[in-house]
Amino acid sequence: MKRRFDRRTMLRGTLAGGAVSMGLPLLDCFLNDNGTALAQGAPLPLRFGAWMWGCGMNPDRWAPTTTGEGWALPPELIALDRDLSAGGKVRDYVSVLSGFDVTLDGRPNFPHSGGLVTTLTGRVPEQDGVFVEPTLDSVIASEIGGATRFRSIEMSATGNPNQAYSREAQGLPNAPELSPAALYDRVFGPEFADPSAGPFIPDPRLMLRQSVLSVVKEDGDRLMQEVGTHDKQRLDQYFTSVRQLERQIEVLLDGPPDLEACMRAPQRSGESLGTEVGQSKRTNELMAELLSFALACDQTRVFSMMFSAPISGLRQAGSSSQHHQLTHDEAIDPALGYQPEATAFVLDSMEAWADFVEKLAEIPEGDGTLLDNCLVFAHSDVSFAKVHGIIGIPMMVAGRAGGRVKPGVHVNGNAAPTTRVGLTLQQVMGLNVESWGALSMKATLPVSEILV
Amino acid sequence: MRPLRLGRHGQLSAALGAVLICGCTGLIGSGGDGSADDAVAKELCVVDTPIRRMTRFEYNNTVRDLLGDDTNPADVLPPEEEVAGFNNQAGALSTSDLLIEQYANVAETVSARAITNMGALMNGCDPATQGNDACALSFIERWGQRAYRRPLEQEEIDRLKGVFDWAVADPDLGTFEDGIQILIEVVLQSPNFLYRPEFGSDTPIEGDVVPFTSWEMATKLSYMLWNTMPDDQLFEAAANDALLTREQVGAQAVRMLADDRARDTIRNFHKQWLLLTQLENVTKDTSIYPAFDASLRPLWEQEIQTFIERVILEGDGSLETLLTGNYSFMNEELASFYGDDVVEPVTGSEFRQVQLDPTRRAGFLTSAALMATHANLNQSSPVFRGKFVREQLMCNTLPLPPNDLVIEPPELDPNKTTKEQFEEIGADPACASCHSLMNPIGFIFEHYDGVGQWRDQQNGKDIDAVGEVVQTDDIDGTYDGAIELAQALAASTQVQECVSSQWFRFAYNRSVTQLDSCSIEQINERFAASNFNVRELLVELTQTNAFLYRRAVVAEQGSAQ
Repeated sequence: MKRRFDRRTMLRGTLAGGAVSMGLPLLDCFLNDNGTALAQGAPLPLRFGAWMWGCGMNPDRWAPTTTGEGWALPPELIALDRDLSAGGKVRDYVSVLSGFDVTLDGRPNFPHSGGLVTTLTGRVPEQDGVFVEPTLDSVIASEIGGATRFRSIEMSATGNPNQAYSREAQGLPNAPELSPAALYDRVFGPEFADPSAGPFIPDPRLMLRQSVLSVVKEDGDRLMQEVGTHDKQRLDQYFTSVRQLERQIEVLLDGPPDLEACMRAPQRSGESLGTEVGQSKRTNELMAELLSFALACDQTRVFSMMFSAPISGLRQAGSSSQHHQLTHDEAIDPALGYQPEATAFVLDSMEAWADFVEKLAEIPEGDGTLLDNCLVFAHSDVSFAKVHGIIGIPMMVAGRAGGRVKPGVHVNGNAAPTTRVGLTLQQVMGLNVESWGALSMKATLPVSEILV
Repeated sequence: MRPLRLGRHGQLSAALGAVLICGCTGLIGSGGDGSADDAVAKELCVVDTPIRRMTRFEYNNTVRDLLGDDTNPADVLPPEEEVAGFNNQAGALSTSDLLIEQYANVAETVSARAITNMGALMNGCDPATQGNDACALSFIERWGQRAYRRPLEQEEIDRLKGVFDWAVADPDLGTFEDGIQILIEVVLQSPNFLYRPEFGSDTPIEGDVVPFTSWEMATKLSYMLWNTMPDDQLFEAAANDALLTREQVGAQAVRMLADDRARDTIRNFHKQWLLLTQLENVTKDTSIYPAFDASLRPLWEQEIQTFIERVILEGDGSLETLLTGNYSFMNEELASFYGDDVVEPVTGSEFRQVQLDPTRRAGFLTSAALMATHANLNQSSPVFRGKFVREQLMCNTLPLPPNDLVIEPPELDPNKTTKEQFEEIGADPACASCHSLMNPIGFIFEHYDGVGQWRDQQNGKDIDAVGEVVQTDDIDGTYDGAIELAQALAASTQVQECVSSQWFRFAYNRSVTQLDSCSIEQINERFAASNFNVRELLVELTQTNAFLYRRAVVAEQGSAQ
């Protein structure tokens, strides 16, 4: 096939052929040298991300003992003490939110899903693991995701393909990328327009794909008219994603974004997928780097990363003891006061979180770094995993959100609902929302301590 | 339309009574939204299944049969969500942006591979002599019918021909092969291919209940019994409109179960029902279980799957044999793992049927695949084993552990048996209410250690495999060892009905609803009449009104909504 796809002649050929009658968009898009999404001088885009790790922490060892600024690093947050190449430390860009609770209003505490679903959707689940409302990242993506090539990018470092973190309404899972190499191909494959690669010539394969999709849609139209109401809703999900794919192609055909920091991400080797915590850390780091380049090129403004699952299957190299199992099975060492093996995974998780934040701080953007224009929410599903604790769900926020958020603060929620954090995040991202969550989890006040 | 016999089973009216009491609204499927016709569908036990998207397994099998592509291209797609124990549940087969992107990528690579063997695609038509148009049209009609599993409408033929013409007219594509490739790429992404739309025929049998068309029935049968597209015989029967009556459908089901493709389905079902998906993560502390080696895992899986498949498709097919049969399939390596339990010598790497010591092994339940999976790293687990029997074989839903309960499993005590240790914790009243449901069943399996090998003693003490089974429908009592328990399970109505409901969910791609009561009753009655022959159960699943009929589709077109 390859030999036939000469870019220039293919372009001419495609346009000379029956392409227009196949429902291709008009040619305006090719006449535009630069992306229309971001005219010169426009403010840098604001990005939102969610990052989770499974099986919580040891509350006494994780939460700082003083609030406000200048808190001493607790033993399980030692990873935040890392220096950043652009100056400062990771902890300077991270606020810690402790003491925010999930209240179940009499519903059962489904282990590992009660706290998670409630914190991410504002609604206590009625069935184990069942999401009814969309997760925070989807709520935000539906507001700000439309301008970019990808509405959002979902990632997973768990090494287990059967786990989705991000959910649309009705709990529809947004399948995550599992492999850094696949993520690279998806974002920076041949169709990616690199602004430094000389004059922009649209990739003719994109137009071919566009033609194929337009016929696919026509072919499905009749089916949509004939099926009943429920099936129509199901097929509509399909066509929504087909339109999203068309949208991706349109954005690509618009040419590279006019962003100084945009360049093709480097292609790294060393991918190793699996459930060893070292593999997950490597995946997390590789994906964070790819993501940082994707964000700098405005390929997406929303992302999520599941570092480890709520029932975390991560294990140390050469061991078969899984993190989750250890949280239940391992005895608390009386001398230490905690479970040493299970706690090692908490430290690993916090290191991975620091890796993720660090990658975002390595891309210069405007007067600072990409991280300054990000708002990244990190959290777990439980506090103390041994008892499936949902009092004091550990949460953090990284980045300055374009100057809207004050980092480096420790806030103790004093038993306020975790949804106050979700409400704050939505408001910072510009969503017009005054309250969020249901019943006891209804939040009306943002966490003002982290707002500028 | 020939008349159809309805409700041949006398229990319809009894089931109707139950339905009226419950008055539930059928969240699963149902084309209707509370119309007056609901009563007819309820009376006939007709419950619709949402439109189904192919699973990755079905996609792989389908492109194998449609294009000869046996590369399992769908393996790169995001996994299905598992609901009610299975990954093929229509309601959970949603889509995501990533899935649709990957469908596009897969369609590109599969179509590119397909045109490397034009001879197979063209079925004798030579564009050089017969012309591009003639061969393209014949390909669209013939292959398109196989891909969409029904004849194409003229509008669809025209559209696909338009794609072909466009590609061939393009100076940079331009070849006949390009045209064929692009249209394969379109078809592989069409919802007509990826989904299984079902509308039924135009003529209701009663109220708004319509039979499926023969084309739809061919597809229903093939995806249910083969997890793939119909074969030539099914297509021929569809073309002759010969898949309308219960007898026609049943006869096809019998034929299909004799075909090798049924093996895929049997294995797919048992992999999920018996949680064999967990096997790949099984590992053991080799200081305690030196016999364990990761290379045993695929052998264990092959053993249990071969046994089940042979019993169902070539043996007597009975649930009793599945649970109590004293033979299995092994090679030399696996036989040496089982040691004295295998009562005949086995040599070589090929699997063959072997006789087992009937005092030690019974059916699939005592196989190493299950015993090793439902155990801890360093000891057996009466909890996991009891839970497995309760949930998978008896269809019990166990309550959740209480909030904030600190769970401390016993440390290994070199002076006690596992049973003694678990009895001590199980006695705690906070645990006993639930664990009395699980642990004693697990005790009955104590002759199988954490890796699934037989033991008479543990820590110098004789194994006590006595356990009391409580709160069941029909097998309460005390059992000594898994052989006794397996026999009781095989004779238990609760277990028999659990098995049929598991197959119902897998085969119909949805949960059982209140409105299915007469179908369930019919299936269970026939299953019993066959002496619980699973092969018969599969045929019977094609004989219910729920399988043969649906509600007429009311499209919203032009409505005021």
